[in-house]
Amino acid sequence: MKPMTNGKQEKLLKVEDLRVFYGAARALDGISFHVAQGEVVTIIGSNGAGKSTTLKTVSGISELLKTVSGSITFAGERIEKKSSHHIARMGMAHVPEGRRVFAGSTVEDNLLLGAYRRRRMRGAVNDELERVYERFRVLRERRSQPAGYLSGGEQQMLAIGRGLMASPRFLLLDEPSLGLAPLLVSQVFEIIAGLAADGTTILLVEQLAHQALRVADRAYVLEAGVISGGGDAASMAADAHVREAYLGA
Amino acid sequence: MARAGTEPRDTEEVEPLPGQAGQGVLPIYGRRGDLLRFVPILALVLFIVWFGHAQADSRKWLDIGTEAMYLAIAAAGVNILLGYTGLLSLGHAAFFVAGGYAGAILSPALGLPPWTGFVLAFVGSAALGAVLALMCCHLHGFYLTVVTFGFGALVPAIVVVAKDQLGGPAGRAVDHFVDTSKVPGAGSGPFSLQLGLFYLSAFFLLITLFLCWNLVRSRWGRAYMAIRESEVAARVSGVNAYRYKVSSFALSAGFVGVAGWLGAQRFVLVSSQVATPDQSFRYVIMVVVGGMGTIAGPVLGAFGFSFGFGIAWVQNTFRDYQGLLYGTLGLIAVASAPEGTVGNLRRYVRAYNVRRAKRGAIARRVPPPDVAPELQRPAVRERAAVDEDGASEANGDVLRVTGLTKRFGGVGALSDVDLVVKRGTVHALIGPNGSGKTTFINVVTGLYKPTAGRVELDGRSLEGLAPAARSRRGLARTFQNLQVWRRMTVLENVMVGAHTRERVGLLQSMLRTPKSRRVERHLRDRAWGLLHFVGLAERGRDLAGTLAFADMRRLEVARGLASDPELLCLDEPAAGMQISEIHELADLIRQVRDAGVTVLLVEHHMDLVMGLSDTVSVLDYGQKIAEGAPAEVRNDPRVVAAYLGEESA
Amino acid sequence: MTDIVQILVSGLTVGSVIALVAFGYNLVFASTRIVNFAQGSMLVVAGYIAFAVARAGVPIWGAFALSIVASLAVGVLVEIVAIKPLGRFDPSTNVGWILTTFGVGLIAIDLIKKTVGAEARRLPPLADSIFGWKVAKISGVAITVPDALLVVSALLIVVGLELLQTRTNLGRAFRAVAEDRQIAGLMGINTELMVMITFALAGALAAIGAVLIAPRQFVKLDLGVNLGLQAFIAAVIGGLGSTRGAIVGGYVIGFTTAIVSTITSEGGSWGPVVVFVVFLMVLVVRPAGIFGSPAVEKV
Repeated sequence: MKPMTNGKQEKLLKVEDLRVFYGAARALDGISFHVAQGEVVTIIGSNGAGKSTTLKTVSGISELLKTVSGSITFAGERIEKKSSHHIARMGMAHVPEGRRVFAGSTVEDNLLLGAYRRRRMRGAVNDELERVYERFRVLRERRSQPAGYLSGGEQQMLAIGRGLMASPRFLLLDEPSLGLAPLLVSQVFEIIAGLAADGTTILLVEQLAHQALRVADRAYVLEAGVISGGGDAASMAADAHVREAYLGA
Repeated sequence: MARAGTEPRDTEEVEPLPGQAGQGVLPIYGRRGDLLRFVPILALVLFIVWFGHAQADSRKWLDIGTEAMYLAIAAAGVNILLGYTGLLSLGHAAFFVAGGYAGAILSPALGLPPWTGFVLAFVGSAALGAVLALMCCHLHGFYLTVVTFGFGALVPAIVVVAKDQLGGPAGRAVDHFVDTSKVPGAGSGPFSLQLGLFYLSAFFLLITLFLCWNLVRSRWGRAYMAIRESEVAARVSGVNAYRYKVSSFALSAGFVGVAGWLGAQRFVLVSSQVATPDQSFRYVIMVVVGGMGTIAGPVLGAFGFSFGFGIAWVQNTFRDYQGLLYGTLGLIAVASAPEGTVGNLRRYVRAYNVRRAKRGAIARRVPPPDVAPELQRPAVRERAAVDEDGASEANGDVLRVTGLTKRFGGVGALSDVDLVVKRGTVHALIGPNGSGKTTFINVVTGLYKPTAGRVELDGRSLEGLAPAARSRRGLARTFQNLQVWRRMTVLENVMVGAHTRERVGLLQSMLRTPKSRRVERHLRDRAWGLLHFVGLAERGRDLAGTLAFADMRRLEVARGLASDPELLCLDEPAAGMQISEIHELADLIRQVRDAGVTVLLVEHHMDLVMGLSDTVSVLDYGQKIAEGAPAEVRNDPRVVAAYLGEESA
Repeated sequence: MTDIVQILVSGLTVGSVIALVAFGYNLVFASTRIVNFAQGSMLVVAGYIAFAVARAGVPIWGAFALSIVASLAVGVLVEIVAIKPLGRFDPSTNVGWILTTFGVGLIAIDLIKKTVGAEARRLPPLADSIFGWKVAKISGVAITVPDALLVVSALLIVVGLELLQTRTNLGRAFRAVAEDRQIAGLMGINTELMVMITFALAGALAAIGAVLIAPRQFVKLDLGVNLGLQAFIAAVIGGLGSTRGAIVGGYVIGFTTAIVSTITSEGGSWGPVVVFVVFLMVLVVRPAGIFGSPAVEKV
């Protein structure tokens, strides 16, 4: 965990009173939070709380019957009405829930696609590719294999690597532990801790509260579409309320 | 052909969302609305009588009128498949041709009088339709349509090849045609043959509409619509989707075949020139522009085409440019889908009635009918007193799952899970995301085949049974992502839930025999009773798509209860609900349990689970890691670790 | 022996003709999961444009180039009219595009009829002779230069398309858009633009096809329908989404038709029947086609 920074850090992402409906179903009921430059912020909560919806709305993914109200400000610009490719080009990389690698394309193609917004800068892209292969050795081994043949853990690494290829100013991580065995979960969180140490600004959405609180600076608790609590990660870790949010009062 | 939804409203009268103009029983407020239903058919009859009288001397218009009639029959046929069952066929023109040939060739070959041709046409085309269905009903969406397309192209190719028997592309003369001058009303004018044929075609159209009208309001029609709206939910509610799709194909082909027979009578010629892809496309456009899934829509579409072309201006402008016309109509069709003209008209009528209701001119809503109290609770079926092993199951386990394993490729979703659900309890299944809960329900209800293990309901193994068969045995479920049949009414949704509780034949349904009316009454009473039970009776006549989110969940519960299940599986019923709604849901589940139905509750919402369940089982990574009373499970360190992660690195 | 050579030559040339159109279906499907039923019509439009330009005095190569450019625009137009209005939809469930692309195809043909007239056109070949060699004869079967050009071009295009799809950023983007549109957007790919580019390229392919085919057969209005249908069948048999599949499918039809013509006296009539039967068999047994990847059956 990084030491507390002074509160005057620039807010890279600011979300205010965000409400999201899918048709008639209310997914988010007016949430507000922010992420400052260089911070790692995590949103924890049990499943169905609305964590993934939050990330998908921030990154602009359009879905059937979704209506959004409220404001999302990224690097000073309002983005709640922008499309996902526009937001991606502003420097936001979203590693989606369930990995969602392009199964029919090779590992290397997946990574190169991650760098799509910088595709003309061949040199820089190749450098980034090398860096990703260094960080995730197993991807280099499997660079020409179709991504669909990789195991769950390898796909998670690929998804994160793909996100990094964009050299993002802001990284969104959506439930990276999902479907992974405990050992892999530890590995993934080590990687996330490493990214945090490098200074990457990260918004991490995660079901496993303990792991998330270990790598984060600050945390919010999401329950049934509403933020029910928040604070710095250290104090949240000991908070009984967190456990109640998951297992009931 | 979906469109984006609108903002949810909190007002009492909710307009249907775009794209949801009523199919099925038409919910119009006020008693006058019921009479409104008969206006179109009266208009049609009057039109026919007037037309025959007014155009008795115009050969041209009589021909056009006849064409309009039989094209309407064809369109009605296509509508059964496309509008009601939701399957797009681009090869139906082949059945038109088949009908013509069946009548022209088979009836003389069998030595039957000419007028029997329509029976042969119907049966022959229906059989051909069944053949096509068997080839494609296992496919979905686009590929199904492609197969129909290929089939529709194959038939004329065969006709070309079989020149000697079938006369090749130029066709062959119908030397065995009905002497339509003998039709009552044909009179003895110069065109009595044509006039007689017109009346004959009109007669067949009215019969067709009568049959379709009854079909739509029967168990069969509702099954078709359920397949259209959500096939998965239909299967789980006891509808054997494959069989119903095949029957829908056959039925629609049959009607198109009769139209083809009439067409052959008109031209005194059968040829395959009417079987090009363009023609099949034409039928589809007629149905879509007229209004899919309505009775009047196809008639309107067909009339528009035929009479439209009769107008001199249209004919002159578009005679050589039919492609332009059809193409543009195709674009318009998609833009207006799925309501079409009739759907849009209905929307206006409904809006008009809503305004009248606001002014107090008519009653807000027709109140739900009273239902006998004993129907207002779920029925618990009589159990087989003895199970396969001879032990009495009267008070034992409803569900016994042993060693259940499910692997997808190399990935294990469930590993050796044992679970026993005791009768009359609420048994919860919890676990973090990805732990296999939904897979578990899908395997138990038959949507997935297990890799290993056994599932027994009431002591009898469910191995190899399709979801529909499991529903028959007493298994019901709701869906996490709501599979409500939105364009059917709330009442109809529950009536389909009871699909396995009654049986009635297709012909009986279409003819509305006393037996079929009895069955309808039973289903209807049953459904109203359950709607009272879950508190949705006031909304019974509304389209399910207009319900609020929490009410849709209740509807799924009512639908599940309609099959008189032993075990009701609820798949994350609290997802997306607010706290107050969750409290109401808990009350409902308690009432279900108290009525004698066992409940398996898959849920994330801990408050709901802990306050409601008798037993809780916990899954993690596909394995059961804990089980017991709610309080025990809550404090079990393994469960805490599963949800929140390991305490220390 | 003559028969065999005849079948070979006929199969290859007819197959290549069909393949040229099938490439268009394939390209559009590979990035959008839509079948562009207007493809055949786009070919006819391109042919008429080339003819009009050539008649105005421009040499055939120039007419070719101009026709390609114009067809890029035609492709975009088709996309705007037939696909854009459908908004955000999932091609696997919402099949409105079947009607719109079909409809646009019908409209295009009639627009030509209205503006240019319905007579068949003949285009001069791109190349009449190579190094003075006009026609080769093997075992009594004539192979003309335009025919040879046809076969070679088809093969070159296969290579070119495969390279495009596997080695270029654009090709990667196409595949991403086809596989997972939402995630492709997250990569910064403007998915709507990609769809438009795909249709433009399909237009260009149609133009290439038109000019290569034109010397062999008249460019007439129902060419689009017949060829479009056969090419569609070829693309499905070979596997929608696979360039290799498109050419293999084309050859399957080409050779089947050639073989059937040779062995039956009725010749022409049985050809379509056999083709349709093969088509239906492939669909029922392996809907994804020879080179296609089987779709995952959703529960």
